[in-house]
Amino acid sequence: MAAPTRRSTTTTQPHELTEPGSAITVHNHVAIIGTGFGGIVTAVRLRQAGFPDFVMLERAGEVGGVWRDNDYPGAAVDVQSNLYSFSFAPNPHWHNTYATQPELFAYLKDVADTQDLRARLVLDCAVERLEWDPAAQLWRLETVRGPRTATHVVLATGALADPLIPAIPGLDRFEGVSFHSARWQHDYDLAGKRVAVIGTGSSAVQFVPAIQSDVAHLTVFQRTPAWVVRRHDRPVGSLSRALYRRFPMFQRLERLSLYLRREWQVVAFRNPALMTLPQRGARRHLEAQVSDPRLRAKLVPDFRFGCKRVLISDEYLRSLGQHNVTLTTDGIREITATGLIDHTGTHHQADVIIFGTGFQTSRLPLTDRTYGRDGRSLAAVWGSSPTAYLGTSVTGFPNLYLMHGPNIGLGHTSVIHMFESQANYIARALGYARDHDLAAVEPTPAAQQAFTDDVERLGEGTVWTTGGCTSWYLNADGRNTNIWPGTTLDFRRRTQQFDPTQHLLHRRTPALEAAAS
Amino acid sequence: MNAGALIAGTPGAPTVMLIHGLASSYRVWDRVLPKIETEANVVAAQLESDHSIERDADVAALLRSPAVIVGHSRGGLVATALAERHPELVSALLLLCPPWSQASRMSARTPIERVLAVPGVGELMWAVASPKRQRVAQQSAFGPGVTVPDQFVADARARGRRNFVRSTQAIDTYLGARTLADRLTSLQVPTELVFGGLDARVASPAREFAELRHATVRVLPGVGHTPSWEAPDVVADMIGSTLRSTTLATATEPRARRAGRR
Repeated sequence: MAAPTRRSTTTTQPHELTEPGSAITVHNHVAIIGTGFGGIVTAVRLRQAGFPDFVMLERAGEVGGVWRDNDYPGAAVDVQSNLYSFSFAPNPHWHNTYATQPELFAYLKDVADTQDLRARLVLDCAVERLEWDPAAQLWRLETVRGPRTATHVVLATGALADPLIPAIPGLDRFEGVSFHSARWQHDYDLAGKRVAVIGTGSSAVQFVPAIQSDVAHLTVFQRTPAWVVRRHDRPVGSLSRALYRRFPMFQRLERLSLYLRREWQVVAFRNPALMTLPQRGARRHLEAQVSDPRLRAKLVPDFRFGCKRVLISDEYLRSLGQHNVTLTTDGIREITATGLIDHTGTHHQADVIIFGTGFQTSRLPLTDRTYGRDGRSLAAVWGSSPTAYLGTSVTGFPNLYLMHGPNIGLGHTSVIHMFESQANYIARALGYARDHDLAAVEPTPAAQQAFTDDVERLGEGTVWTTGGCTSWYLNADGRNTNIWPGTTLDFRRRTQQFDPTQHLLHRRTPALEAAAS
Repeated sequence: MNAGALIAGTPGAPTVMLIHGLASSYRVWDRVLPKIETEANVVAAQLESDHSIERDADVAALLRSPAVIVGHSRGGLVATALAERHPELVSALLLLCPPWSQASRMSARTPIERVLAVPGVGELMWAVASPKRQRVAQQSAFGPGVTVPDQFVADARARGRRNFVRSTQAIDTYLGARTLADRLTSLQVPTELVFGGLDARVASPAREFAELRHATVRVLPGVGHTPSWEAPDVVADMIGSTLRSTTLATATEPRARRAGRR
């Protein structure tokens, strides 16, 4: 098999698919894995920076990431859409302050079209393995459509991509229907059915009120209650939409205003005492929505507001008080053929079980099959404590970038802002490598450690680590591996330039140099 | 520690660490690298140089096994500090045109360096310096007749005034505490000192290093302050022969052979 040389970049059309066993390995300068917000923003930024030779590999049949997969009833975004969107693609058509899933999915498809990304897209192309080839100084990818190579790889596979279904004894015995909220079975009619919902996180608070009035009975299994606040969602009138279309400046101003209003809120996450006020608001919201004191008691969290992800819903709490809803807090001992038994021994009949149990967050997708310079996988190097320089690159893994890597998540504002910062760092790194004719770049161990120390320092005393809860933000040792505890502006500043004193710069190996010239 | 590095050469071969000088970068080795990369695993440091010489010596963190440390000018002092702090990581020192005492720094006596250090005035001078002026200021780093390469002008510019002044002061602090000859006396590592016969920045020593049994001094005739650019073949040969002598000397020690793949 001919190892492609990187300098004579074989600009292959990505849609010329290779078959398994094919003698030709397709090479691209950059392979972007995943086509959600993270993948798309990377592609757009790289093209803008003068890197047109990229391919986007998507395991599903369409772009969209979480906004393609999470199409459950009531799915919508928790950050205002004027902010939760690309800075380079404002959308004057949002129908609500908080767009619903169909609108967001359509938006991402539309951006893929208007930014002309379709020609660079390979759909139904799950990547199964990635390996750095130190001799050829490139990444070797194994995909379901055959092998590929790329000089740089961007893992934009998302932090919330693979559904998590807890191992509850007896699940295989259940004779009804069961599915995860991110894999909703739309052809199954819930009307008149007895439905058990497991989990009360961000997804469940959206689909529970959406299905409650249709079903015969709803049993909601809650492990930990969360703080719920009002959503303040409003339809965007046709007049406003026309204004945004005609004068984009107004929408930019609205975006800036939302950004500033949210950005300062990080102060409260870092000084939990300031959470008293919003916590009181959440308490009033609960009292206004739930009149039954016994039900209300089950819904009061015992931790500080903000420690776990704050849920925003105007309907969820009220729906729990309806006559056909039971909220159980007694855990789940086992699943039977016809329902679930809680730890008090009570059997809850169910025709269908819906898992609102979230996602595999302890390990980023594909990282257990991504092998670096010394042959170890990223997951093995990380163990239970993932770290990365700027949350993006990892020492020992040259030319590899993780969108939504460790400590990129946010509690207070739109993560798209973080993605755009990450994409900027990636573009700068590729630019530096190109301008200095380098084969590869990676952060030094010291740079990665210094960033991790910064995260630790910024995270001290924050509500995430001291708020009195366990959450998926923290790893088994209680270390925050998911949240960026600073301001998004600080992160933007850090990602503005590529700093060679923080990196190992790999020169082309002499043999390849000779082959290329 | 803020130090990156260009990684080059042959993985598994004996390691050479190259350390650039004042307001410079790993690109100062551009002409030497192609001549040594088949026989060496090269780590060409990129220092932040915003603090002391000792802080820069933390670049040792990038070494896995004993290496030949080559330092140019100020980098020669960083190499020396590295040997002082991590003797187990240094098999030999090769110091190219290192300032060896405060008095040896001829450039320190020029008004430019002094004015740059003055707050306000220095900033103004740095800001208004034309590209031509910047190039002229770099001329003293090379022998007569050598055209200053663009990348040297760009590298110095990219440093900024503050960094330039601080890294200059770090030289005086380091040599003020102890001269280079004094420091090398305490080190047992084989050392070769190389000076340029036409160096306009660092004076050639007279007898200052004569007492040192493990150090040799060599003056390259017709070469200015930057031998890696002006006489790359000579520098590559010296690195090559140092490498071969240290591998021979340590061949009996199995740990030295374990030059890890970088």
